[in-house]
Amino acid sequence: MSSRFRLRAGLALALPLAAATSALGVAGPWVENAEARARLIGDATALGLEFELQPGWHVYWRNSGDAGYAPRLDFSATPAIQDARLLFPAPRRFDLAAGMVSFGYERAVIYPIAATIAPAPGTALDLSARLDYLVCRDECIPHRADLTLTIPAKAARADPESARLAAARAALPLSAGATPEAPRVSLRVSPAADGALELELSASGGTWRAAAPELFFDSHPLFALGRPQFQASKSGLRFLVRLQPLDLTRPLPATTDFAWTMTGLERAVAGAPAPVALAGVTSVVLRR
Amino acid sequence: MPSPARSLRFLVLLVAMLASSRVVRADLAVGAVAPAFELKDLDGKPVTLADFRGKTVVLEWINPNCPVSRGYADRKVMVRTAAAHPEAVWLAINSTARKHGDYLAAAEHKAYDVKQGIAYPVLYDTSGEVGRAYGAKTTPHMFVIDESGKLAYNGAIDSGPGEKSTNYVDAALTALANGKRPDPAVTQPMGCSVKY
Repeated sequence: MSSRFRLRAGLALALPLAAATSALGVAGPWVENAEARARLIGDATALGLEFELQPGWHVYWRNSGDAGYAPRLDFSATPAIQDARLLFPAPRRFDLAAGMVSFGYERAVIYPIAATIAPAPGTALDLSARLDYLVCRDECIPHRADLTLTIPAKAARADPESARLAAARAALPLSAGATPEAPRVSLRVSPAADGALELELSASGGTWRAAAPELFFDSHPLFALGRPQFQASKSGLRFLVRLQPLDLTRPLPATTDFAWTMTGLERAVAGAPAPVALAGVTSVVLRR
Repeated sequence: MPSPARSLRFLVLLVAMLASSRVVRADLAVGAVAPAFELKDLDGKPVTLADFRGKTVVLEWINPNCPVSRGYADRKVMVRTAAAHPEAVWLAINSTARKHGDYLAAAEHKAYDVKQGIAYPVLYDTSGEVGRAYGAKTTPHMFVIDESGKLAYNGAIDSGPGEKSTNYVDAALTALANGKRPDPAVTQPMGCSVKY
């Protein structure tokens, strides 16, 4: 056990003894290794997966980038939990050797979990989940952990873990379309000067200032996406992203979707997949 | 007047910048001609892609010091997939730079291969040139080249950890053996970054 973990564990023991005796604890036991530790937190209506990481180590966003993979959580041993999936906070970019990048989180992260929790009035709920995750520094280590959590019958939203989970949930990227303060975004694919394909994301309007905007994309089935190149202009923000077709043997469809997440604004915002026309550029790809 | 320490720091920075300009080429597209290569195996014997013209070839990026690559070897995933497809040639390529801590000398690599039951050739690409040409990003990262020498599959060996993992390379080889195109032909590779 690392000294940092020991210190924090000591604090955790010392402080919430009162809470523990009133049976309202809503954090499962940490399952830890030399690089990281993980646990479930939650209450009767919400769940989360919490990581703490040793300095230099990170875990991943849903698109892990050029290396890594996102955590996977399997609740199939707990019938009371259905349709569970991780929700992903806004990531940061990690530069790897040879120009490669990955996307994820360092130090600490809570992934809120979207799930249907079967109500069990008046009784405690015992949850167990199998977690598979990769933690990387320069090297990467795969880990599997069986996580457990008992949600007491009287767990309330006022519990400290519930409040932290609510904060993590509130910090998730906002839907760009439903956030008037966020800039309005449009996407366009066109051939670049050298014949390669380029995705242009333009953003303007809204009231939020963009200090150091960063753009992240979900992985795409048709294209490898290059690093977004940011250009500030009078009319707003502009990012150019090179698109490398992944499969020359199949014709491109007339439209395709890009899901994006932008950080560096007052709040992170995300754009739901929306069709972008490819029809005019298909011939460019086929000529390659 | 710059101090020797500052000059040294500048030199180190310059070298780092030059090194970082040698970036991994963007992903090699399915349907593109697989880049030719000549690499040496652990005995120093040259192996070229052209040696296997007319055959299906699997390239596995390997690094015994990457726990993900080693985990697949421990579970015999590659060895079993290769054994199930005698019609295909299976080659492992180790692009770990000689100066990286993960680099394994030939004797150690051979001992690892024997322990893991790896009987297929392992090729050194310590300059990283072939890895960059293919856009190899992770260990493992898998490429399947069809009989015409074009890339037919690029991505992960399987769908990753979990009870119901799908072996994409097995599926791609089965498809090619039956005269079909692999589907999926592209997946996201998962693992440690290649130590260029």
